[in-house]
Amino acid sequence: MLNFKNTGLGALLFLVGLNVSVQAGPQDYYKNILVGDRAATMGGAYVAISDDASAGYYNPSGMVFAYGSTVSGSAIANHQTQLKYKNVFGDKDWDRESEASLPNFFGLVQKVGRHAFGFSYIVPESVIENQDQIFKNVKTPKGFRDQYAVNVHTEDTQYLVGPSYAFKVNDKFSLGLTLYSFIRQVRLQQYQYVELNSIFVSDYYNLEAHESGLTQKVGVQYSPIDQISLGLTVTQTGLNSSKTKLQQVSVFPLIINSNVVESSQVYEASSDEKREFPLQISMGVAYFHSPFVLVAADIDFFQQRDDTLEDVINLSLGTEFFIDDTNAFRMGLFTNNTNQPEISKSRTGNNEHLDMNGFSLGYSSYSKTSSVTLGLIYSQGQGDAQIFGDPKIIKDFERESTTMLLSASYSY
Amino acid sequence: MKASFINRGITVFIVLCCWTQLGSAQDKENFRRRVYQKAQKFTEADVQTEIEFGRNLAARILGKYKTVQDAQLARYVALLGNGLAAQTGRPELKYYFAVLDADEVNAYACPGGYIFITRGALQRMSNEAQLAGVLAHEITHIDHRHVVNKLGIKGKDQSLSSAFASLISGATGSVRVLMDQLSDKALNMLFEEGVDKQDERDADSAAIEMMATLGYDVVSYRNYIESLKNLNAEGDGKVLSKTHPSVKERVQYIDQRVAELSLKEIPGKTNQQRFKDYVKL
Repeated sequence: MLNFKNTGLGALLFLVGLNVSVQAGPQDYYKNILVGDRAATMGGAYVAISDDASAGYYNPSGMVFAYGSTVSGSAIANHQTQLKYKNVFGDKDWDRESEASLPNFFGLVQKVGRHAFGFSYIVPESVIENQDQIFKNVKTPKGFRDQYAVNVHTEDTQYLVGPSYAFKVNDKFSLGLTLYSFIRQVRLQQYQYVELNSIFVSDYYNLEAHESGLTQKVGVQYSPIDQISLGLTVTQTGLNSSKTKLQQVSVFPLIINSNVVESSQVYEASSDEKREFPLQISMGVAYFHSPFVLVAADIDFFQQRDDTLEDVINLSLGTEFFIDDTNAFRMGLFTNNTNQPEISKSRTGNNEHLDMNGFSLGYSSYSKTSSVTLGLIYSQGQGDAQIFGDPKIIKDFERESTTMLLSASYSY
Repeated sequence: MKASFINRGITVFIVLCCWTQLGSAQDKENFRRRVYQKAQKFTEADVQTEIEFGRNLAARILGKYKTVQDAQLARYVALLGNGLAAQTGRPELKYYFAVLDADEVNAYACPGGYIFITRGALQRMSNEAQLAGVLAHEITHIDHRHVVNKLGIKGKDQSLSSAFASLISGATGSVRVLMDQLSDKALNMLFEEGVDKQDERDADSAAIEMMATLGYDVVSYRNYIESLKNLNAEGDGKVLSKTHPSVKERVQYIDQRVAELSLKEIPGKTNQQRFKDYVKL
């Protein structure tokens, strides 16, 4: 009978068990890419402001307060994420990076009397990862050394596109609604190869997923006194279609009568199961201290309908100040907490658990009808990950995310 | 625990929404305006766009109404109006005045210096001071850019950042389409909605100051406005009542301003005979 531990094949399977597919996906967080020009550089604290082309995304009721009768805006973002798993291969860290450059926001608002109509296209999440690494002389717990290769290609992008409508009830109160078409496309391809004492194991994994549905957002804004604005939105996404296909091919050695025989296994699966999205409730307050200074704060609550996920609360704080009538600076702080539960060694299939904190900085140059904004958004966090099959093996990991954006707005 | 925290937050929000307002009920929206939106820098391009827009709007009004075929009357109104504008108007504009052959009691100010007064309005006047007050009111709408600001009429921004912004934001140069849309909105504003109440008060206040500066009797203007309270009963006030605050509100405000400026004690001219010589409707 084969003794995996003595032959070191246990170590092989130990290494090949590295499960890239459970790595922190975009669906674990709700604030990976901030949207808009003004909003993104204020840490996303925009529910009580929302008076520009990004209103459909943050709070559609704010559209009626946009400056000008027609407003448009767009942004191009370069979004990078670095993940570092500590001491994964012996004493070697496993680093993963993703980078996506894309136009992640376009919006248009048209005011007609007490009504306002909007349309926006949002990419709130985009991950494009290409990883090709070979680790040599890896120290395993048994002290074996050889090489390990991993190739990963991941694409995970979400799109929101749709119209918005707002009605100004009076000078203090407005209502709004956004209906977005939600689309998510995922492709994950992973190849792993382990060679140990001339025995090798390889595993190829391909996952494709496509989701589509509807995101509904209802918002209100209220100004109880001059200079103060309060905002509230309720958002719910429901899928009407979800298709996931998985293919896995594994090649591994079997020892039969002291002879090593190559064996392979092919696995296919598909699923139409639709995941449940949380109910999102966002509240915000903005204090318009003067035409030069503005301060805002938001709290976002995500109430899960999936029992395997945790409720999430995110906080945002932002400020904008004009140094003169054409130049403005913005800063923001925000949290981006995970919906994954704390890792437990008594439970298999743990996903990563890491909460992130971030800040944003931005500069805008204004002319009479337009503005151009440069922004930087950074967040980071430290947490735990179970990246092998054995739940007792928990690794420290760190995550950093940086977004640089260039955006513009135009008003008539 | 998280749910109860959020429920408390929602409750607080609803309570705040029901909170009795403090502070002024006027211009709640304006506190949102950032400094670059409040900065009133008007360029030559802005003025040209305003003039073109106003000319287009005036043409549409003249397409809707004929003018009174009385050359003497037209000249009288134009001279009076230009005399007022020469003292108090914007120097970069040329002001044009015409009398519309319409029963409605109203006057209209188009951006760029185009002012109309209806036959119906003139028929209810008894002296030149009242006409001067109405024309001064309309000149103020133009001087203070009430329609321009409300519609956001601006000239093409030639700055580099604007060109860059239009490139990134996908804004096209569809100014003609936009101007057509704004022209429709302006007509609706003149004949249906009216400008903001604050703008109307601003125009009445400036009108009585102009009249006093030029030696006209401000009380005549006040009495003319008060005489309009019977319009709805007579069936002539449909447009006026839609586009202006109530007569009672206007008279109260004018009385308040006259008292604040101590104008009641200052005698002014009415030029009643000259008015009757030229206005024979």
